[in-house]
Amino acid sequence: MVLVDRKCKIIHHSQVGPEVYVLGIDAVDVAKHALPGQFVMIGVRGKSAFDPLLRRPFSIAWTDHVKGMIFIFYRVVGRGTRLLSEYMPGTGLELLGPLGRGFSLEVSGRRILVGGGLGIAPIIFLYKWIKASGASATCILGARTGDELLGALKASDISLEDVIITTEDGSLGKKGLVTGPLAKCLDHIGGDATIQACGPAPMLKAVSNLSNHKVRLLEVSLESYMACGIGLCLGCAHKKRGDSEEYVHICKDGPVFDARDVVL
Amino acid sequence: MGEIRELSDINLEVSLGPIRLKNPVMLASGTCGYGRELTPHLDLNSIGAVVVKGISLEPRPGNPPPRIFETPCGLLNAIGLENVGVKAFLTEKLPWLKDQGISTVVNILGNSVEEYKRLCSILSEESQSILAIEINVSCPNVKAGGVAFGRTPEGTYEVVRHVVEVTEIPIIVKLSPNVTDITSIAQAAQDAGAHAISLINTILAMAIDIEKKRPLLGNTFGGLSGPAIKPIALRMVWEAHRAVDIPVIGIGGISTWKDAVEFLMAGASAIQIGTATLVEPGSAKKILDGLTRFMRQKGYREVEALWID
Ligand SMILES: Cc1cc2nc3c(=O)[nH]c(=O)nc-3n(C[C@H](O)[C@H](O)[C@H](O)COP(=O)(O)OP(=O)(O)OC[C@H]3O[C@@H](n4cnc5c(N)ncnc54)[C@H](O)[C@@H]3O)c2cc1C
Ligand SMILES: Cc1cc2nc3c(=O)[nH]c(=O)nc-3n(C[C@H](O)[C@H](O)[C@H](O)COP(=O)(O)O)c2cc1C
Ligand code: FES
Repeated sequence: MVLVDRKCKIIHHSQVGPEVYVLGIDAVDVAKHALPGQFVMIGVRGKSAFDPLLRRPFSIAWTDHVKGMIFIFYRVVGRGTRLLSEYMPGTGLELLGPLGRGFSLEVSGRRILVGGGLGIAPIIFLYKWIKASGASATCILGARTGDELLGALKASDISLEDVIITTEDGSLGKKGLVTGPLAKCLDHIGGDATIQACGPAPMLKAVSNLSNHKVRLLEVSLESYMACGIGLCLGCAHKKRGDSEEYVHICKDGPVFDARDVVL
Repeated sequence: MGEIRELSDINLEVSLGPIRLKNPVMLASGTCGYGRELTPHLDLNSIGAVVVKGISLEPRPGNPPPRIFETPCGLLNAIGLENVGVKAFLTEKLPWLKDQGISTVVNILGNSVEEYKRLCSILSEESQSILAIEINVSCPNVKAGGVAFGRTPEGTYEVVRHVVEVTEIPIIVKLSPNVTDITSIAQAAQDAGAHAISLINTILAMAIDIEKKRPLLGNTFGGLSGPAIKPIALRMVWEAHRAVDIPVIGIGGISTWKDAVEFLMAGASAIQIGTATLVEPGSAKKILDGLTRFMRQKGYREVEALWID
């Protein structure tokens, strides 16, 4: 297992949609070992300052083995991501990763990938991985608006024809939520299918409700606030399914979980 | 200004009463897991000691999320003392620490004097692989209506007096800063027979989610740690050191080697690194290296030579 904690240089940084950015980082060893669904912790504060204190978790959106780079796809939602968006190519970023347990890579039967909002990041990685291995999958990606998605797809070299797209405003693909196409998909498949999903909590819940008993496995990637990202602080607790009061830790046990194991 | 003479023969070893450390840098409880989680980032044998996550008699699930929230230069946490319980600690966690020869301090917590005593007796069976027990007295005392033991000199005295009777393992008492007068608590710990005191634990605090109009943490209150609390911690270490004769371990917001030097100058004999490890897992080694360099350059031959008289 390779685990890097060092300054890595920004090679590429561009805005691809409203408040949405793609960041390419020079980290050859991370690129080589990262698996779809894994994440990195990125330091967003300047030199010798303590604010913001904590590093921020981001999914690895895809890797480029030739250039030895990893890519992050993120939205500015607060101070940390605002600061991150101001970093120029050529500067160094504190990077810790790859971290966590990603998606199952070998699955039998049909495979459906669902990504919503910024949750499309790890789904893009997984989709590219599956294609590179010669296998196939149905990939459903949803966003609020089209320009948010277009930029990410272009940057990651995914053709619009290969994926099913939904937008809430109807500006690209089908108007509506990812659950629309997913429901259709589920009507046509037998029980031996796997869904792998990442997105906002309500989306994951809807996907889970839809797929109940219809698929063999539903894997979901979860989020929470994180302090360390490596299992030290127990801050990233998420309730386990069942009556007992027990928690999983998203950074270490996940971020990808079998949906049967956690409360959605 | 005199010429700077680099010393090569400085002595980093410190003795906290019967507790011997190869150097004064320790890892604080709750920020280094049970040690093993940190191994890819830090050689645990290179530092003074590891203080493991607080252990209780029975496993504890911890608080509902959200458990952590970042504040300016600080971290607010309400983990709720989630831990595997003493039984699993002894069978699943301690053997590895022992095999690696890591200096291990076991942090314990309980809701009654009886619980602290039982924990100490149980741990005594492994006394050869435990360097010291650190008593977290910031826990609610069920018998005293939930007021934390560490809030009063009497409560602190009661716990410590009982635990020193049941174990040969040296006792460190970890003080809560949520008190009016830290010196009387420090003295109570000393009078009850503590071998050393460590301070500070986190400062009681909270944050509010203004969109949802409710406290941000699942537990309403949490403990504040990180650089934000350093000046308070430093003041308390200064006061405690002057109030007692037993060694003081300084904790609170230490993030750089300069912070460490400040605590040692305030009168600490050793220090613990907490939140800094969460932010950067290799912090302790950097702090130790910086401290060593500083002592060489300035001609301090031993750690306690840093004390301000
Ligand atoms: C495993 C994992 C993978 C992630 N991958 C991505 C990704 O690929 N792209 C991306 O844009 N974001 C991703 N996130 C979320 C990202 O970490 C947060 O958006 C970021 O930390 C916000 O930092 P900030 O300082 O800008 O916001 P803050 O000022 O800290 O918060 C602003 C807002 O963001 C919310 N927020 C903060 N942290 C999180 C979090 N960890 N999860 C959910 N909401 C949060 C807060 O509730 C608040 O409303 C991921 C989170 C996790 C845990
Ligand atoms: C996430 C977290 C968990 C903690 N858990 C414990 C614990 O179990 N027992 C304990 O005595 N102190 C615990 N502490 C307190 C730290 O050991 C330390 O006293 C405090 O954080 C101040 O130091 P710092 O600012 O360097 O973090 C915890 C702190 C944090 C941030
Ligand atoms: S973020 Fe610290 S344990 Fe998961």
